[in-house]
Amino acid sequence: MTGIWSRTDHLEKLLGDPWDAGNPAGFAAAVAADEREETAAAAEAALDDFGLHAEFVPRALGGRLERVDDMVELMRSVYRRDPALGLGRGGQLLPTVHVWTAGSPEQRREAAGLLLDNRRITCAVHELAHGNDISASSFAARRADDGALRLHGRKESISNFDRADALVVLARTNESNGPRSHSLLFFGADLLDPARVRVLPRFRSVGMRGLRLGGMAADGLEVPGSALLGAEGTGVDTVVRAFQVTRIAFPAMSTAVLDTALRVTLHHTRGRVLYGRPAAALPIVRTTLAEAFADLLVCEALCRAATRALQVCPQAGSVHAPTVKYLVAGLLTDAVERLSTVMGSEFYRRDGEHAVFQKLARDIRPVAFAHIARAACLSALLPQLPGLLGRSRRDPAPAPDALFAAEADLPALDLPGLRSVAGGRDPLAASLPTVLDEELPSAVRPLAEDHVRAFAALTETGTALRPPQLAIDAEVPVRRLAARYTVALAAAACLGVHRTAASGDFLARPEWLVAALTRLSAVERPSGAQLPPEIEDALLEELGDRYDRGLSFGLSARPYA
Amino acid sequence: MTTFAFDPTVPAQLEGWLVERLAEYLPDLSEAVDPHRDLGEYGLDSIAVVAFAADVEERLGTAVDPGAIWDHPTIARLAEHLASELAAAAGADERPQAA
Repeated sequence: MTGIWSRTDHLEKLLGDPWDAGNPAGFAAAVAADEREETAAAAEAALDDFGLHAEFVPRALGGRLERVDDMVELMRSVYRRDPALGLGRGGQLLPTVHVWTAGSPEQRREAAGLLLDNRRITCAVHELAHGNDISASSFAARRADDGALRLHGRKESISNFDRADALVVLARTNESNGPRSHSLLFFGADLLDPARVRVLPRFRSVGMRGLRLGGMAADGLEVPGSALLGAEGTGVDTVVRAFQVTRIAFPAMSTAVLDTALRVTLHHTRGRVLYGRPAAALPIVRTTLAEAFADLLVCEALCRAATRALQVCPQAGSVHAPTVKYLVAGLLTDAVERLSTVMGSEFYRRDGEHAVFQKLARDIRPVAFAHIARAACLSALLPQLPGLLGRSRRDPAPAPDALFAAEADLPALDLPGLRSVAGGRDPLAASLPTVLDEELPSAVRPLAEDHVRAFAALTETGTALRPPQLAIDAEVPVRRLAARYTVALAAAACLGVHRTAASGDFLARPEWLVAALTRLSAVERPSGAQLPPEIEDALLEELGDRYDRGLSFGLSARPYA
Repeated sequence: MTTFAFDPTVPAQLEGWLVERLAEYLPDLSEAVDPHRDLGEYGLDSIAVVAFAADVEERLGTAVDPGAIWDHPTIARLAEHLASELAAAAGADERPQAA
């Protein structure tokens, strides 16, 4: 089970046909489990059989994690059936990226051992009182005379807290403010002395209901000094770097939710006859389906570039993480919302063969606020914006093919090598001023010119920003500049995927790129252009063909069970 | 990389440049930035520190982590740290590559 495609095929086979009402890991089982605020037991068992947690453990530690893009693609097979199942399992990345980034060899071996044994680690960074402002976290670890640490405070909204075998916790180790005041801790759940820690009641949620959100209130809980993960005071620095991986990976996995939403909408609208013809033939339905398909391809193009960049040019992670989390989360939630309008009353039903749709419509929502909110992503991007734009103008260069091509060798994943600032170096931004130098299909060129012009205007405005304008209280029009930057990167990614696609491939054809660039123009200009009729036809033909052949709707067009 | 009218590997020269850069981040400050005063006392928040680090890194062309700013929390100490990093990088460029 080495190559990614043999792994995805194997996992698809294990989880089976999701439409089969008798499949205990299918849509019906996922919906039934959701009603009980659980995940389907048979699906969990299949993932254990597969040894899914090994996908999150670096190869050097005995796991199968070599490439973030492969791990994401595999997880799409879980997300497309049940996003709560996907997040519950993929959530193992949240604590472990910190261990891989900052842990000692012994801590890394210990975390790897747990995951390879199908056990769980949970991540307690978040505190409701402080939201995305993690450097304000108040949960404290105080050093006792004997070198042990005593923990005080609350951690909330922690997934699978009650079934974790170990925890990674962010704790304040210094009362002063600033980025050296917190430390990460890694310790076994057996240390959770019931006399010193209270398990908080489960948090109940609208979506992702199979995910058990818990919390703890500690009062003098003692852990050994050796629980420190990395040097004391480096907690926020590690979190800021390691979470780049997860802030890219989770939205990237979530594209599979849109895949299923599209598939269910196709299933419904093809079978339903309205006004004497299949609903799928109505113009409003056709347009909605074609736009959602284009949006899915845009999301996957940006996600492919960002996951690959973590290995090809890791210094850009601090830019790509908020970019993906902002733009992909926005496009996915909007697309599912629009599909629900053509599902008619079927989107509202909790029973019947399309019941999974209402679950997806709820489950997709957290992608926009969980882990980090879209608004906070713009705040994170803004301080780097003038430098990024300035450098892209001074040093434009085509982006490496390895960010886009279907097959590409990547440098080894080096998590400790992630940086918290990019120093202006973003290969996607730097590529935009060069994209018109390439040969482009005639239908694409004016759209590419439009994006290049928009980026030049953004550069003009953005490089003139003064430091005080970039702060957390930045004006709304200034924040919109950061949003426009994310659109520019997505356009660069789509152009790159098209440029490097094998001839004869759907991705080498101009139609999807015309659709992608048109849709991206509409992100910042909501009254933006419609897809031309011949483009819509081409997209719907491809979509219908993949539906009939049971292929994924994303970049890979791989076989689904 | 920007060409400077000063030698950034000389701490005293880099210090003057950093004082000017930092002043950009402190529009409400009425006096000159004191290179020996703790940066925390100027009330720079974490976002401003990220912006300052990214800005200085982009202009100097050497890695500047926000954490490094906290580890060298005055302009004088930061200048010393960055100047030695730049000098080391320049030295490495001039040395023949080991086989």
